[in-house]
Amino acid sequence: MRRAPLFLLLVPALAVSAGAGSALQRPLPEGMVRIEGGSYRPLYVQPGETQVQVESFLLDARPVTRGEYEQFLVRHSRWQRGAVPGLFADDGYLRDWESPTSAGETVPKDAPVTHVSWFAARSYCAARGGRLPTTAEWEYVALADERRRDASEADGFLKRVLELTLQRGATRAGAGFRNVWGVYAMHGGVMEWVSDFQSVFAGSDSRVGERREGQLTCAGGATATGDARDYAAFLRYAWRATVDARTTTGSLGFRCAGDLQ
Amino acid sequence: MMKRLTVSVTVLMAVLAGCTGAPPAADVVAGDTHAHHDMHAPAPVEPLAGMSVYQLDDVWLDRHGAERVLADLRGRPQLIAMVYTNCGSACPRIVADMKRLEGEFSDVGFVLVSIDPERDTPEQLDSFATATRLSDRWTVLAGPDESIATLAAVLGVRYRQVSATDFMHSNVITVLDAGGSIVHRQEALGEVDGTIAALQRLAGPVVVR
Repeated sequence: MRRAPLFLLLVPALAVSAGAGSALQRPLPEGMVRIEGGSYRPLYVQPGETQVQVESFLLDARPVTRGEYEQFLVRHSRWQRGAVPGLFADDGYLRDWESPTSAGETVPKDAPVTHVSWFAARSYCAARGGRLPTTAEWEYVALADERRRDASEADGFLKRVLELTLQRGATRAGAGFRNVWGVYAMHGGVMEWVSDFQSVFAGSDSRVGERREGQLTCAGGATATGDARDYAAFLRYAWRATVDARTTTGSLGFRCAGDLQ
Repeated sequence: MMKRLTVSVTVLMAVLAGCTGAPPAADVVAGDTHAHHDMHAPAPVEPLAGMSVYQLDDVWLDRHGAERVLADLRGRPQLIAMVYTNCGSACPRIVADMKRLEGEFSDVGFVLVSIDPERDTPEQLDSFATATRLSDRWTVLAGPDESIATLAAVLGVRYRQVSATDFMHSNVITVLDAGGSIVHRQEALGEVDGTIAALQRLAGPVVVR
């Protein structure tokens, strides 16, 4: 645990408002909950920066399901398996589906849809008038337990989250627990796409060293490492740093967010 | 050459006409949330390859303030990188790497896309292009956050704003073939050998100087 294989160099996320989701107005869109803005101490800290601000926003209470994605494909046939150009999804796209239009019955319809690329997830959310959550937003909501908005300092919380993460069943939309926001399955379900996954850098480990790092990134010296106390978060940042936008896997799904007016 | 011209004209006309016809594949596929996506819907003369970056139909502004889509770059290999003009360290070296190749390949284009939409206006890009003496083989583009994120996603460029004026970003130079498909990615400064090899395969032998 002390010597993690991937030495991540991370700085706190700046929520990038894409200006999307203006169609989302009261009453709350079905399945979404309102998240009150706030700030939190990020796992990986840029020198001199200790808090990440998050504005109030909307978030799906559950990950998008296979059934919901099936409905999406009815009106957006370009996203059916076999119709998507390789630029926007790798060969594994919806590979566990029965047919290009049907998820089949082998896996329950209310299970999170997986084998979807970042492009696919983003299109789905845009079609609903929303967007993907930012890393900052996702991590902010992930700090909550059943009673507290920020349980990161609470006894046993990080251990519990890690256990849920490592047990990852991922077959039900309601995996894990319902947190104080009314949001389910932030831990113990599928991993979830965020809009700005590409703002996460996988830095060098000790074998690669400084020189290489400076070659790979501009302002590379501005990063800092954090401790791995919150190992579940470390794992989340690790996969965000290694996927690309075409990636599809059986444990990677998504939920949508929206802006408040 | 003629074909390239035709494509550009088609695109231009579609933009001017605010075409609302059937969207191109990328319009739905890329699934962006910009309203402007409905404004241009050129049917490419030849279908683009499934891996072509030119399927992205975001509208950019060049150094002269003219609207451009990436498909305008069709017709010859392009070297493309994402930078910001305020960058003092790595970005000049990216440009330097690309310039080194300019003298060696006569029919290759060079593209810089800004990751700093706030500061890199067309005017700023024009100043930058003048100051760094970019020839007319270079295309310099500015666009909104969402377009930048999409292009970075397909090029595998990671970037993050780390202060009011600075960004951290991977120094990737990508070689696109004439149809916009990625044929090589140079992931570190100075490592131009692979880039040269890729361009030789696309554009023929090195010009003897």
